[in-house]
Amino acid sequence: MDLIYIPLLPINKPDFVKMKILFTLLLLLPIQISAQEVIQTDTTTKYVRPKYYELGAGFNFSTFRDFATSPLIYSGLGGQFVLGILRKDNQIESNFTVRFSSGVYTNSNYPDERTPGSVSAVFLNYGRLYRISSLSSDKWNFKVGGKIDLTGNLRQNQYLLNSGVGVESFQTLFASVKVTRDISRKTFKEKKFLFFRYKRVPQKRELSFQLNPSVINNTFRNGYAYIGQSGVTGTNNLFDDYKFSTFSGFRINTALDYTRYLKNGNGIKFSYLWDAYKTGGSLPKFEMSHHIVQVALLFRVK
Amino acid sequence: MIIMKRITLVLLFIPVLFSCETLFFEKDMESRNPKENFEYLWKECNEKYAYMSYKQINWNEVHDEYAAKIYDGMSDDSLFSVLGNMLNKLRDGHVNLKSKFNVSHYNIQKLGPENFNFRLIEDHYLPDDYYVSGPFIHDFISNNKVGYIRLSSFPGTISNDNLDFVLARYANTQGIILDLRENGGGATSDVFDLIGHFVTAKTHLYDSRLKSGSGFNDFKETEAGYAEPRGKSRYLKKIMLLTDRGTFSAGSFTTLAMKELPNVTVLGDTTGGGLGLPNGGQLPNGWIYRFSITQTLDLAGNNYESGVPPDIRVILNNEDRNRGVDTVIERALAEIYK
Repeated sequence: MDLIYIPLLPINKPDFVKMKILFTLLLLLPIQISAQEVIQTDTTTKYVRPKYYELGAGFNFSTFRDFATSPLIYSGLGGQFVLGILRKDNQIESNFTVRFSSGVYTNSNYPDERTPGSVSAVFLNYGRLYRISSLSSDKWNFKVGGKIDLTGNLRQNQYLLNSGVGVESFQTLFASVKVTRDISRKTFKEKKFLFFRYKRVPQKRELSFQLNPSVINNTFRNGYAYIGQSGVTGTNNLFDDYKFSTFSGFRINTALDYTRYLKNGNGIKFSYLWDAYKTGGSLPKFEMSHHIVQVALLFRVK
Repeated sequence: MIIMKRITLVLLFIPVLFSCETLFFEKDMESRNPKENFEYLWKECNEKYAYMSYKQINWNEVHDEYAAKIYDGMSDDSLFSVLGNMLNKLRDGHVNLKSKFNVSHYNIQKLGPENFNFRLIEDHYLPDDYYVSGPFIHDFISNNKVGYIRLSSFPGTISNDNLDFVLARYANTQGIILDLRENGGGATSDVFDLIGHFVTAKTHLYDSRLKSGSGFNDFKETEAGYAEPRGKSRYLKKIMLLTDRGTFSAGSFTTLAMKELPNVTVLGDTTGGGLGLPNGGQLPNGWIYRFSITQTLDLAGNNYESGVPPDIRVILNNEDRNRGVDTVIERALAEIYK
């Protein structure tokens, strides 16, 4: 069983890695310092899968087009935050994350006719992966499983008059494949950069890539006329004329993660996430993609 | 070196994902080509405008007429003029084309004679210190026997507090005049807030139906519009509702709805219509358009999109105006005293 790697030598940090120290200091405030996966009871030894709380932030470059209101592609940069719970070892991995993203988006080509609007999105997802032992080795770990994602968008653009508010929801079941490469530094090394000499201590690190193509994609969004008539019938139903469509469209997302762990078991994860989806059916299509770059701290709690 | 190779591999991977996005996004349609913008706007109206059949508009003929005016290299101003004129063939005040340099519009007020002059009312009917309660201008007229209430638009801010005060003030009058002349509309939520003070039970006012397909007569089933009692004050005596061609959109909705109430008489001119709910959309060059995507029908199934007729047609008389008399208000007073 691969356990969190505990560095054996003291860390000697040169000046040029001050930024790394800042991140590391945050990580040195663990909720519960533990590098043990084995809990000793009176009579038995019980294995506990490592559990982490994930707290991250980053940038989300998004692009979308809603043919129901405009043939133009809108794009922009937003901020995004993520909270999650991650349980993982080499055999099984599960995670639950809540991601919130918000930004201002505009059509791009004609500056004199730009009509910017805002988009806020919430993503809830739960995923579970299992190791394929026949394909895996000490260095490579292949896992397969699935993921459920619930995404909600709130789009506001006053230029589009009564069609200025767009609310839609996407519910997706993904198949998932994840490959992880152990790139841990196993031995102590002395290095030199310009005039600086520094030491690199052994450290657990991993690089992973996860691919999630959709198996079932459902949508809940506006009907043919895009706006409902509740405004003129006095019922004020935001979802008047909304339609729920099953097996509608396609979605795919990927996650490229680089994770390094500290000796107290906490970690820091650098991620590049890509998510793209498109509705199907006879109604005007909705297309959207997200490119997310994020840094997340992993606080180990078990 | 090994790290650099890994970073390079990762960086090479990112453009692969960007290229995958072409699977999800159809080609970029942003364009300033006059022909493309013309065809896009014509098609949107053809498939979604709610009154093609009702107004007996031959939209294919309109296409041919205006397509002939489109040419490569025409200026934005010229293109805007052609597209705006094409939209005015729909004869609908809810139809506009909007760019950063102009807004096209169909002037519904010109469909009838001028029928309102507020200065006339200020000078000869209202006291100088007339009340202003939210969007309502009001006071006693005709020796305190009648309440005059002027509402110039539906700003979305009509509240029970406003109306409770206004209607309680005129509780002991013989009737009220609700003046909606030249009320260009606004928030339809105000319509229900207003009428809720004139009903004692949930009341069916009209029906609405929403465009559901590209055929001219593709509509969903009708949905009923109801008013329910709101606030503390009710006014159930005679109500004279004054209208003219400038009474549009939410003003027309209010007129159509209040015609269903037994104590209401509509006086003045036919309203400007605008009983369809307008949408909003964008052309490939970024200009914004809007047009109606619903129809509203009275309880007998009549469609008054071109204007809700009054019960009693009264037009402001120039001779009356010159001697300080509002012909429409005078007729309304006569109806109250009947």
